[in-house]
Amino acid sequence: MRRRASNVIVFSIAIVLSLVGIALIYSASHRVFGFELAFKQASWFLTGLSLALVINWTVASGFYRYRWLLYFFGVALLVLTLFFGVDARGGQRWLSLWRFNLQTSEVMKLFLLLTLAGISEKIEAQQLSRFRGIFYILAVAAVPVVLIFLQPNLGTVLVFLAIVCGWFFISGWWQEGIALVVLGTGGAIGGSLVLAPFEGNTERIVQAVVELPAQIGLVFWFTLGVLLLVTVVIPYFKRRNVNFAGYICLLLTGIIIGTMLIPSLAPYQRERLESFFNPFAVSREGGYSLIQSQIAIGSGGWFGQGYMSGTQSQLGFIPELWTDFIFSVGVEEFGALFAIFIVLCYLLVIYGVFSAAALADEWWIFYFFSGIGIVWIAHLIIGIGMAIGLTPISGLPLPFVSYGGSFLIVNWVMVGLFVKLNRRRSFL
Amino acid sequence: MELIPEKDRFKLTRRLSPLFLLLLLFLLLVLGRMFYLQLELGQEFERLSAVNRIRHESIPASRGKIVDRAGRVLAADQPVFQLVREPGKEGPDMVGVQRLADLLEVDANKLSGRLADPERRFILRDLSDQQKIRFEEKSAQFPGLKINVFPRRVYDYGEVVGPVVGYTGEIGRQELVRRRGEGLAQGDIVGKRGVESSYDRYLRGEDGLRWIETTATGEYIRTLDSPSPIAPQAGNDLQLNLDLELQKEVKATFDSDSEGAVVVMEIPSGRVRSLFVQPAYDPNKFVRGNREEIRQLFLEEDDPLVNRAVHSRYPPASSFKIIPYMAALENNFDPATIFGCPGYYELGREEFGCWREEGHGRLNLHRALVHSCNVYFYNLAKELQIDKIAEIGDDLNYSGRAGIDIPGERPAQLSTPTLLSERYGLPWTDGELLNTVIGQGYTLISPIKQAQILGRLVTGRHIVPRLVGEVENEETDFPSAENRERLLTTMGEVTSSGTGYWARHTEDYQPIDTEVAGKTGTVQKVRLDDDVDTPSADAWFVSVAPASSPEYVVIVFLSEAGSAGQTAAPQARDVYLKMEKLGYFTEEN
Repeated sequence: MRRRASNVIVFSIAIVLSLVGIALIYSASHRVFGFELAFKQASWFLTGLSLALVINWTVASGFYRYRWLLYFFGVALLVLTLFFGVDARGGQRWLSLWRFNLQTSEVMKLFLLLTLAGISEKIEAQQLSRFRGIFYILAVAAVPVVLIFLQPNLGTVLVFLAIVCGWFFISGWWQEGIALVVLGTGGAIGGSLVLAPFEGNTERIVQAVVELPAQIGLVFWFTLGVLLLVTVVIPYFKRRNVNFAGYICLLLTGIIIGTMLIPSLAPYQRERLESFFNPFAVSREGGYSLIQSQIAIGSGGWFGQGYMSGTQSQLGFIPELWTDFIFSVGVEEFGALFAIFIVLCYLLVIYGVFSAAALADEWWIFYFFSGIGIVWIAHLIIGIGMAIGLTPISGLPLPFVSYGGSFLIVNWVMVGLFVKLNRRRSFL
Repeated sequence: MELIPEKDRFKLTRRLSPLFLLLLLFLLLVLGRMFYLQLELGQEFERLSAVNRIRHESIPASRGKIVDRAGRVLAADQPVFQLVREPGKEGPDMVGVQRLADLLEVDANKLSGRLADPERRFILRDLSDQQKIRFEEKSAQFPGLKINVFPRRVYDYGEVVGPVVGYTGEIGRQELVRRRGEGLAQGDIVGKRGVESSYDRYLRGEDGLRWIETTATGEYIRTLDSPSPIAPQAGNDLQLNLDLELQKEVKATFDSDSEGAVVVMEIPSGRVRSLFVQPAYDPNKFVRGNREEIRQLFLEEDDPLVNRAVHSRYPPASSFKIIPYMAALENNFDPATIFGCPGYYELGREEFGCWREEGHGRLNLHRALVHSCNVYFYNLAKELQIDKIAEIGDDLNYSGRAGIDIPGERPAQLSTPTLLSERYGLPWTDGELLNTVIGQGYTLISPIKQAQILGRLVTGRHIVPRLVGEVENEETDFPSAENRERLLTTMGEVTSSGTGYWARHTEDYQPIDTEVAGKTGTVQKVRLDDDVDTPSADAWFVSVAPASSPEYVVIVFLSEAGSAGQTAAPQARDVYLKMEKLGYFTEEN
């Protein structure tokens, strides 16, 4: 795709998605809030759009030059959120600024991308060793991850982990990327073991497996440590490829971490997870919304039930309709066509961003553009996946569509930066 | 900013492609999953004609009962029958309406008016058993109408416990927004006021859900088995600390037209055994939903919706004197100090009178409280200054809520220089100091908070008055045990020879069994308008019993009743007599 084409596509689809979002938010929320939420979303959209246009008249690379300043500013905001944040939905995630509640972790996403892009450019230009590179990237990403974990906001922590994992791939570090994916898969399996509804004997066996680490104690950890050392750590540092046994070990480790992590989750997060495995058992907040969401999607048919007349979404049965479940609202009211339309939109946007990245002149622009794509992919997979019952865990907003000012504005700033930087020699 | 060398460019696409493939794969999965969901449910859809629809309907959970300490039911769901129109149906014609009116013995005009409104679902609320049977026998003649059973709250004791129990009603828009995330929807019934509101989550249970098949116009066809319905979870029963028998007896001590409140609180547990207020409302009026009745409640001049024990604040008047009394003792003021009372106190050119115009003569601190001598407390105030009083106010957490589990409690306020400048923009004067020490002026407190403060002064514990359960509290060294003992002795004398004589003695001068220790408070009112008579004073009696080892705090407040010693004190005595009768002061109650 040519640069100009990718600019036109990303910019125009972002506008279309934002408008669709406002329409869906109005449909989902007007019964309780009237115009209020749709109006707010519209004003945030206009704010974001104007910021994107302003960026077009300025020197966008300024953002890159002051990336460290922005990074520490973002970290400071996260720290402030921990102390002065607004309590809502089981976490302190918002910083109250006059009449706007800023979700600081969303802003941090942009700042982290810029910082990571800078590090990767240095790595590429100076041919730094892979170990040093990984160390830098993990160190820079760890600070916000820990701060967001403390809020707690599990969904966003996952997005940040996905950014790191994706970063390994775009840096060409396949082995590390795959190792992270294996570890994550293990974690998911471990979580399923704890939460899945087993019956009778299976339950006891699973229980025993889950309690294994605690019962065997130190010996267990020692054995696992040795296994990891032999199969993963030593081959890795000797620059040999990690073999099959290594990946199995990583998978095991992931499973153990997963089983141990679940009990430490906040009750509402646990409930959401539990409801993923057995939606009909958890009747209210967790499983309830999942069933509702799936029924909404299931009852959409080809053309949906019509705007403002989706039965599930109009009756206010799905909690957090306009944030985490906006996809369900869309599918119920506009049917499978909506799903196909949305899928095509995101495919095109991300294709546009990635192809521009591949055409970039400078290293940091390649990394920055790819990073934008990774953030959006992560949101799609975790967010939509939950709404349709493919992935568990807390919902995440759909880029441009879901209700929420901070994420929408940050996304538009990213679009602004993208268009401006991509256009360095051509024009929109 | 480093340029990408051309030799490396081929790497870029290679690095990005797995991510893009992942996205592609995922989005395909999404579409696949969506079509799968549509097929799974689609089996149901397909089998039905194209116009039929699946909707869900909530199965209301039954709300828990509210019972008193002995298990007597104060509020419970009962089925009521309502005549409703099936959605989308026309209802009977003119002749049918007349026939229906005759059958049910209701006004035909009213009936046809309601049937004429196509939006209206409820045609008649509250059918009697007879009406229900008669309709069911002939229901075939009235297509489109049917009888539905609804659970409705019934409050057997009406006004006696109304302001404590509260009532239920349809959730309001604001509450819906505030309680987002609890799975509430429009039309849900929630608690309003009283413990119905404060323990709503506990009482309400969780509504179930069933999926029903309807025609396109919304007519019910059948209930689906798949997806399987979610059974409702019944709410929990709620047991109050309140004693219904005592509550009724307390009501009997009130004249029907008097206004006031009585709080009986067990100490140190804080369990509220009686919380009676008058005027009160009958919660049944709200759930019956007769608009005229409800409107009347809001319009009535004496505001029956205001719980005078919790939502109203009054000047404590002389009942406040126990606070400077304690402040004096805690600040090592010598209680033997004597001041003379000539019946007035001179401050500059102004004269501050004592309630006893001929004066009390020479008194010490103890006698001053027993006889409620204003002049002694004026002198004491000059010694202590406002700082010491404000300090003890802070220690007692005077300016705050008692924390009772009824929504809307108003916090008490203590008249201090800070309050005057911040709230009223007024300067602090010596006159204000004198007003404050005798509980007039800007100090305001609710009966329930009085109970907490007195409980603290006699037990040294921060007691939270509760209608449900109790909040643990620990004994502190404020006030000191010695000073607590002193206060009890002095308050005991108030009822044996002081202003609270009638709280301890029957009309024929016989002492009652319970050793009551208390303090009176008469709130003098100022005549605002020459044409109107000065309103009579409000009366307080704050007390504990037995004085030797306090078990209960009893607060009596009477609005516009006159001198407290003649009104609130004897009423407190009557309450104590009823408590004796119910066995409150005999072994283990």
